[in-house]
Amino acid sequence: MVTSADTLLDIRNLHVQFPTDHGVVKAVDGVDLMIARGRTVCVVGESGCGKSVTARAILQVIDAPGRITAGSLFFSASPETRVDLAALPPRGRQLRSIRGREIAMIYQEPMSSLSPLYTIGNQISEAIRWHSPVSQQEARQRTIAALEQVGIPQPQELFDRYPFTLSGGMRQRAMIAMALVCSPKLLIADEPTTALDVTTQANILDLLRKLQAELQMSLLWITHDLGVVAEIAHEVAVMYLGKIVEQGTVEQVLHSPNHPYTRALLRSIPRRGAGRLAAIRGNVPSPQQRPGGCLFHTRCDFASTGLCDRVEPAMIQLEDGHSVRCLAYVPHSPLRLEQPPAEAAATDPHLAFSDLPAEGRPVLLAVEQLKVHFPIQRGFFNRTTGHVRAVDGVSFQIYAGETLGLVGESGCGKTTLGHTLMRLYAPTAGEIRYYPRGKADGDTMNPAHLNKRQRKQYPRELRMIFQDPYGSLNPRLSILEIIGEVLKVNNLAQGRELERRVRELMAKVGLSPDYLHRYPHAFSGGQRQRIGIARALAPRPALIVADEPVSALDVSVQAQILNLLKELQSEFSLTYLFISHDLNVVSHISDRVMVMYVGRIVELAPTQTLFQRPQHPYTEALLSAVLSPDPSVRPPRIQLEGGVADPANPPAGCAFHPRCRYAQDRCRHETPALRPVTSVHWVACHFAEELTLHPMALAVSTLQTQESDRP
Amino acid sequence: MVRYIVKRLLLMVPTLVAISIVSFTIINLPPGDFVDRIVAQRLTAGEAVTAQEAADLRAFYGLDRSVGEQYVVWVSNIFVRGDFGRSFRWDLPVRDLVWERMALTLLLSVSSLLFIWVVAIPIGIFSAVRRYSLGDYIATFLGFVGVSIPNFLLALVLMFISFRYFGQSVGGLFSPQYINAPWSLAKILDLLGHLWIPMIVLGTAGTASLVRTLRANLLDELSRPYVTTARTKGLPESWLIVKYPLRHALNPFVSDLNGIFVDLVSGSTIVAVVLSLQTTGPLLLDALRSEDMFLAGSFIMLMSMLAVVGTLFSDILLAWLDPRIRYR
Repeated sequence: MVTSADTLLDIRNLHVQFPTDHGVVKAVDGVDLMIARGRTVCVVGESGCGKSVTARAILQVIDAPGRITAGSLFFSASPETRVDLAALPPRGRQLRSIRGREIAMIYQEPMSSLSPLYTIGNQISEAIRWHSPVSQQEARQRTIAALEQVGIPQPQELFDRYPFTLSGGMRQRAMIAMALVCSPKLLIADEPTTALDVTTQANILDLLRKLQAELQMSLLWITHDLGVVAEIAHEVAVMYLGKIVEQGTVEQVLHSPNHPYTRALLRSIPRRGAGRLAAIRGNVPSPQQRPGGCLFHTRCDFASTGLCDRVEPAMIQLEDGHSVRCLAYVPHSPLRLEQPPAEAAATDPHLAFSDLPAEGRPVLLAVEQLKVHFPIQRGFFNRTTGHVRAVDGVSFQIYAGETLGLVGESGCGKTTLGHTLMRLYAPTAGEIRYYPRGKADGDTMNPAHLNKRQRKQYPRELRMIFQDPYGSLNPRLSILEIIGEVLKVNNLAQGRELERRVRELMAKVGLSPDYLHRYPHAFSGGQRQRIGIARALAPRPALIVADEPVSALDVSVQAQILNLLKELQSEFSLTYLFISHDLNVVSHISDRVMVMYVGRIVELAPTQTLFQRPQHPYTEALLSAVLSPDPSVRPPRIQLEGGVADPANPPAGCAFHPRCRYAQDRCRHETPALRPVTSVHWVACHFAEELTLHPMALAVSTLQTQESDRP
Repeated sequence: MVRYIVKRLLLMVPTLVAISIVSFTIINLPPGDFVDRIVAQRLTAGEAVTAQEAADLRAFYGLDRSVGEQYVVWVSNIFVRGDFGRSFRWDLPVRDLVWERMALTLLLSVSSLLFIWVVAIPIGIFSAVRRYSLGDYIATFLGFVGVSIPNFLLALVLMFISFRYFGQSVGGLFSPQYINAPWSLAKILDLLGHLWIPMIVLGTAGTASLVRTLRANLLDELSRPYVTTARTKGLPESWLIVKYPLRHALNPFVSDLNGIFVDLVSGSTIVAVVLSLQTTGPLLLDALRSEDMFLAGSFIMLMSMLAVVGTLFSDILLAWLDPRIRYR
């Protein structure tokens, strides 16, 4: 327990409400949270649970029309002083002098959080100049020092650059420099790494941990990612619908989670080898429809009717610092948190990993020496001055019925490759061959040269699921029109038959057919992604290219969609090309995994092999950047310096050599070819056999077994 | 930035050539020419005109040459001597007719534009920041009224007010005694005294629509993360609104600036007729009706050039406002 002298921020009974036309939304409903000096507190939960609003309430920068309706925010800049931030006028001088100087904040989207109209230096140094009477020269010096502190290579030069000329990771570093430039006592970080690549995320996490120790600063970290929590938190608060439902140290909460919601969140993390994921039922209810009794009872596997829907649980202290808001922990509670029946489904043999080696199956699609280059045009007459080699000589095969995972940092050509298979781009060189009934049958299609019949057939056989469930559905079309359109243009169904088919598809993807005439805005992100899947499924395709289909979704919804994709695969014998930057997801769903770097495949192997015995240093670095939701597992991390090489001007030799810790002279001159090291394992590295690389550290399975020691 | 401007200037050359060709072609489109009109006039007056006389007139005015030749002569005179040709109707060099009117038009346009900015930007900011307040509703109401009142009606009302309550001479940009007088301080003061009516008339609709546009743009920007970021840095509210969201919100307006400019020059003909202003609009109308080809052609060309220059001006302003454009 922290003593009051150590307390930096004491949030007591905080309430934030948004008056709307449909009633008052209680976004934060009685939150108590204490942040001690020099400690990191993480607030976790799904979107719509009030995490961000809590963070914004501290500095009173909540979006209109939200406002603090009750509670206090006691802030002690030094042990002797104490100010209630909630009592200060939001635009007053006193609060302004605390913002930026005592308490700073960083946000999720480094692009939109920096204005593109001013230079990095301008935006950072103004924070100094508003808070202390320093000359422009001195402000510049301090800004450059701050940029240096966050590991920016040439801070002098960066000062005068505009944010849009920087990569995502650099921008986020600049944001951090901006937050730290006045040496705040408390840094509030609102999902600062969510929009970044795994490798960049790992670097930023290491940086912030280091800076926190150096500056003796406290961190309030908002995230939905339990891996990040395990990595950085001292204490954790789990939020659900505006209330904290479980709170304790990171070991207490992650090693022995007590609340059914915390347990469910942990269980729904995708992982290697698991069959069906234990997703949480349904979605986070809209804040206008908060359930009575325990807020979580509508989605809880243990909820007991007549108890959980009537009695609102209070926060119950368990042991030192660990508390939980669940009726099962009330003395003499009739409620028992036992293994839910849903868990039994996890061993359904149809859904478990397929044991059939992918190579034994017929080839569905073969890609040979595929190149997709985009011309760079400059100057007066749009002369072509170079080429972006988005895909640069890629060969692989996809076997019928398998899931081939495709991973790599952003800018590695994953999406371009997927789009080329869909005929959205024409190949510059090389060939794609699609075998509708297997290679042996002899009927082949080359998407670059389709005859009239094939031009109709090919788009039916290959379908795509997109990343953004909001942008990929036309808001002016009803669900019937969105899904029906595919059937209509392919002359597959019309009129009543069309409607029947659409209803059937909706039922298949777990949407109620009653929603037939609704429009996309009426659906949540997860439901929209189901619509997108139904649309892809409509013409009975053989191959589905899924481009980051779950990365915009919350963990629990992500698990639902992954389960759905697996079910549909076995029901319709689908083949997936699954593009993702999330290695946990890929390890969960894929039979084989392909790693891309700057337009080339660097490693291709069955999932187990790739994760346990990677043979390319890039794969090793990607694996080491994956965060484990177990705080006791902290594998040594391989720092990947710099960004992905420029595909318009890749380095000579092996494109990865400037970032590779094993690079030797040969790597600088000679481009390694993708070659087999075993019959199923392909690597593009000169030293694949000599290197001993680290596998992915994983301990999630241990979490699963510890769950039932509690009542 | 310099590179950008040079590039834009070079790109203007082909545009201007195209404009001159199009202007010249338009002028030559209607059947008949200036000499036909003279012949018709003389015939109505009872004078007979022989074919030889008509041919001589054509030769004198250079109308007997091929269209291509006429074009080359016209353009080369403009570039070499600034000679736009002769107005057949007024029997004066086009140059003498056009420049003063262009200057007055420009003065009127620029002052209307300034009027629009000075009035509309503060009201627009207020409307957006205090959305749904009483002041916002009043600004919105007045804005809609301003957009919907026809300009000539507003001109008539203001003329009535200025005559009735200020005893000013009605219409025109000068009092009668100054119209043909040389430029003097008194004349300038007289001009300023007359300028406000057309300025308000021409500016009202623009002001009203700019208030609405700015309000909408600013509302989009006010909820952006970079505004919250600025707020969490501890900047005062008024400073941060001007520095961050306002500059973003002006972007679409500046790119539209040349449209406003052209509109002010060419779209104000009716108002100019009602107010009997010595601006370009009425003269152009007249020139077109009397097939005064060189005058009309020069006008159309000058105005198109103004549009090109206006576009360049707004593009440069935009490049200054938004660095992303410079870096493209």
